[in-house]
Amino acid sequence: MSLVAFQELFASLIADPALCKKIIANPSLLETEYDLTEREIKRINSFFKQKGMGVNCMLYQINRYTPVFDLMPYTAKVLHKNCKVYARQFWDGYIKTNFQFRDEVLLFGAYMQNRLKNEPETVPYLQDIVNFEITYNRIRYSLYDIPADGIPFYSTQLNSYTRMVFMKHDLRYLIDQVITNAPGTVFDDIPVVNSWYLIRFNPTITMHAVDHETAEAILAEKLDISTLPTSILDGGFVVKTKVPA
Amino acid sequence: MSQFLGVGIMYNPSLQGFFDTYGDAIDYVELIPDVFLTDNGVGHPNRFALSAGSHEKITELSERWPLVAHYVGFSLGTAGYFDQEYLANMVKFQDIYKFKWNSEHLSFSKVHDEEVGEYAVCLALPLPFDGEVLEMFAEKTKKIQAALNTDFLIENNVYFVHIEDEDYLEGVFLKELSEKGNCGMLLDLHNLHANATNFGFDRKQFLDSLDLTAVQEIHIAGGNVIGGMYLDSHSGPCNDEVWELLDYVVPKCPNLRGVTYEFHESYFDKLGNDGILAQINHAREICNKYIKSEVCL
Repeated sequence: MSLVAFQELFASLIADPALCKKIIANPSLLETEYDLTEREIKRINSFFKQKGMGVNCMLYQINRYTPVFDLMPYTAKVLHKNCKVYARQFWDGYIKTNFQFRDEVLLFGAYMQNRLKNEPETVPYLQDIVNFEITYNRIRYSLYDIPADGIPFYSTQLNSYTRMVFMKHDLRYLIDQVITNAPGTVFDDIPVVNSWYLIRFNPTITMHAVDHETAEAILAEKLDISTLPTSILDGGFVVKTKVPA
Repeated sequence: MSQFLGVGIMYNPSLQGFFDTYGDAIDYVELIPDVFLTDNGVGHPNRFALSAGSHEKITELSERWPLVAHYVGFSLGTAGYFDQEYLANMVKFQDIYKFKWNSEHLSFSKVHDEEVGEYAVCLALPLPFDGEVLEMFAEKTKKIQAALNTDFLIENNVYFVHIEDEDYLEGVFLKELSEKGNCGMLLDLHNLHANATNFGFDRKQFLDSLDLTAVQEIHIAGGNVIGGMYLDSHSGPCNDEVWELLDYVVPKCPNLRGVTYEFHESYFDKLGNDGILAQINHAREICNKYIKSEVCL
């Protein structure tokens, strides 16, 4: 069905400026590579002469940035100008998106994690920021499975709105700095703590550092809540049921 | 014939303060069900999952105002595919939330291929106003109308490229669609304003080419110019042309049920609660000139 091919190509052109350039440079591709009628070929060629095609491409990009800017605002703020570069590279590997905000942010988060593993860190705390945002978005979307990289952890002793994640840097101080400073500011005074944190999101985000012993008990689902400080108990981070020894 | 419900507003999360302060100023709330859902993909056993707190929010709104549903994810213009699961969810939502009417757009926002199945275009792209598209679209709206126990409307789309050598002019296409597709029309005056600004046609001539008896709802909004074109960005107050068009068309729409003001939440600070109220009041003043009684359904 020719209209199907026309719509597929129209969508691809909006998402991929490189494809636009390729066809503009070699218009005969429309005849050889796509199942289009003569009228549809004329229509596509006329698109390239209209400034609205650039507007469509711009709107595609704005719309695809939206989930990252809305749901990973700290990552976007730390990356600043690089955010668009990284996002574009992420899209190139996921051009046929389902455009569900959950998948857009979690897949972009995974892309960033992978990139940070393979590249020297230009911003040393960026990994913590990305992991923090993956964590509260997994809570937002009620995801309880533990990803292969273990970020974040969930155990049945945690409240359903809580996850546990390991941070190299002092998370509270780090987030405060990101919030109060201009986009792209690089901080060289974020304390290194190598600590576990409980992150709660419902509907605002709260966090609490926990020691290694407590973290291990949570992971083993052998946490004795009577040993916890009231700030964790009253903060709604855990299920208040004592586990028998 | 349905009666006029009044002046409503498109829901967005920034409206909470407006609802608390000026909630009595609006007659209904329109919402986009898709923003409350995550679509887990075609064929998924729990395909449309309500996000946490969404049912409570929609219920809270429904306890105070009549609700209207405006869908954005059906992609009725997608050739060669009809999303039966999407329709089933629409019917389910209608049963639960009792929307006064439902609507979608004359556009496509998804395509299907053998590689990944369904994927998103990330914006609403225009359809050629051709006979082939008219037949395809009308078949779909007939199916939806038959499944819903309330009216289903199609909104005229905004577009940024002109598709050349079409079978129909847009107004004639919409008129034919209402008739053949057994659907009503959601007339978006700001989309019309954007298209007329970008492509240089006469707004009132366009309105006169429509079957205005099919119009049940009107959208009004504001926009701005980016990249050399006027965009349907919902970026604040309606401009003078949109108010003029509303004044022109309301007396010509005998089956009009509501006028809905839309703005994007990122522009809330530009408007403020008083600015939103001013838009609602202006729309009501125009409606009251021509429609004497507002009866809640």
